[in-house]
Amino acid sequence: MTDKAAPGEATPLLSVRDLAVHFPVRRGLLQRQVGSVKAVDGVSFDVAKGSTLGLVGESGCGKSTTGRALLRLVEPTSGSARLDGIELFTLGSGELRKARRQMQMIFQDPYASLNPRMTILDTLSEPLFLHGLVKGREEALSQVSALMEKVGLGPAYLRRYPHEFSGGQRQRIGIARALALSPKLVIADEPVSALDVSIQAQIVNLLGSLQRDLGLTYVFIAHDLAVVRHLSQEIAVMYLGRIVERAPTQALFEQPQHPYTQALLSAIPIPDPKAERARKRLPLVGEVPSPLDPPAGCHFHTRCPQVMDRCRKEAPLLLERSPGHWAACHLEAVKRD
Amino acid sequence: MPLLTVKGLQTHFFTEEGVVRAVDGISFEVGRGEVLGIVGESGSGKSVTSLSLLRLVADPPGRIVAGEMILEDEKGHQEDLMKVSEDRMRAVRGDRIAMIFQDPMTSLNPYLRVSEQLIEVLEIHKGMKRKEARQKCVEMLEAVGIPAPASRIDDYPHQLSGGMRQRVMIAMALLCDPDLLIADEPTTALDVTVQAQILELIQDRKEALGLGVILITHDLGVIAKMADRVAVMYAGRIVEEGPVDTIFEDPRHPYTIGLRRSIPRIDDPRGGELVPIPGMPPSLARLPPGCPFHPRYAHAIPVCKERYPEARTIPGEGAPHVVRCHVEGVSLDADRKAAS
Repeated sequence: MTDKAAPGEATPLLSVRDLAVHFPVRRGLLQRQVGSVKAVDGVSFDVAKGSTLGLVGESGCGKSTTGRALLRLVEPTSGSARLDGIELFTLGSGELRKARRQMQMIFQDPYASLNPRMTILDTLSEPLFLHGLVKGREEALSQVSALMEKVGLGPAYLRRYPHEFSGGQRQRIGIARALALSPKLVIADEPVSALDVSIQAQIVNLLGSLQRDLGLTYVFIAHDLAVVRHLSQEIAVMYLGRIVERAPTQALFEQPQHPYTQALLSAIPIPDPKAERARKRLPLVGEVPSPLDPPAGCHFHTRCPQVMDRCRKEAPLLLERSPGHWAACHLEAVKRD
Repeated sequence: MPLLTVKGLQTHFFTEEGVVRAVDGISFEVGRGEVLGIVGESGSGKSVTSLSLLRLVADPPGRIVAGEMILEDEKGHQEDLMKVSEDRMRAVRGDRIAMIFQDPMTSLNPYLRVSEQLIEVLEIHKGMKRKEARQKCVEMLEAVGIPAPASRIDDYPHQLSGGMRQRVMIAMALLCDPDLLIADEPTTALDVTVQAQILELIQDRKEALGLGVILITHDLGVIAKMADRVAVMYAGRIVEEGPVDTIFEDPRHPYTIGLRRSIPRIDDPRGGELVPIPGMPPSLARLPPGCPFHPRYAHAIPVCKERYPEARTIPGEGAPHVVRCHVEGVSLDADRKAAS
């Protein structure tokens, strides 16, 4: 794959090269390794400071594992990731703890990641104490109050427990916790998909305004392309552990190059019955194959409507088709009406 | 008469915290070959509605406390499912009304081969012999797009992918040639490319068999693709109902308008802020007085806090467009103007 940074950009805040995460598959009495799941298999991208990269794909494509590997919540097998010039994958545990101040995660289910026996004040002040950012209780209280205000929760909520909150409020707390240490990079893994439609928009807007106010950089992982479109400057589409297409948001939606991206976009129903009736869906047969035994060559060839002989043997490289628009497909630039 | 006519359905749950009015007086109809989409968020009562239609509400704590559910057969003979015996209801379920759920794994028995579970349906409802039943089941699996059905039929559920399991559920639902299919979030657990396949399968079967379909979902995109008519539920009631084009183009309830404006669309360029609905859905055990939506509506008038609005028909062509809102003159345009 390539080492070039996205053109026309200053040094990116996050720069990932050839990231691979392989999980061993063990069988039998001796738990011998009989193979490996290549959850992430050579992924490269850059994220400019203050911008959002959307990471999309269907279940099992490796988008969440990519996010977790960046924070070293799972250990990467190979590759490199530099955050503001610091190589993350070779850090020792002490250095890693320090680096984690700069990068935080927002999870899909904030309830599962909040301690039910701790008040919100305790939950949010814990990281401040751990990193020695506050001296006493009073300072913690004032910082946490300011944090709560940022995410739209009043100080009245400080002494409450997680079960007293609704799903949308809990996600606000999850966001507040991610922001407690003033990170540069926030990795948001399906942050709105567990929320009701009318609440989703509140959280999407909150993420947008926090980014503008605090200059945050996001990696936004989601399966909902409409939400991703709304928040991202650039989008990377993953399929079975690899990025198949990466492009500025508008280009990806208007001139998708990879047949998988095209099929994915055409499969999403539009909330407009007339537009929906007028659309032609690109039929995609079957389902995503098992990552235990992905198809040879291009992983997508078993479902690709335009498959050629070459696709079964040779994995296509991610190549730049037009400035900033990368696709991994043996077909010449794909036309679309 | 339509295939199914529901009048004044009320399903309440009697809990320690008080009476939860999960479904509180809803009425609707479904015709043959028609898809009625029911949209709502969590706690709107949409799933309790579907369970009520099959009389599958857990009692206690739940009970259907009022209403009629009149099902008509091809000969025009009608029966009120609220009044029939439990034995009769057992015969209706699966035979005349079939249901598919969000998660097929919870409705398939993991210990039994698919063949056992499918063949049993035909043995019980149609009194078929085993060999004949198996043949019909293989045909049905083929019709729902399962490759190599003659061998896959002997798989256990865990050997099938999520999409294949949902196809098996649809095959099972359609085995007895039902008149009405209730699909409760049938594709919510599936990936979007598989969702498209399953929705098209339901559409195809509806057209081939003249099924009436009640499609329950939170996804307005799925509704736009599938539904002929739409009912929007909020806090246990239908707040707006009408033809699908009308509901999307000219919604008249502030909640429907709020939903429309709060969702991003893939065919919209990256815009500014979404317009969320403020606040959150109320707890069904502690509903605000009057119209339960009034605390989330900036332009509520005094009467909104006092009593629940009567149904009001919006003049127009085609199937009736009915809204339950005290405030007249609510529309997408008016809402946009007020915001800017």
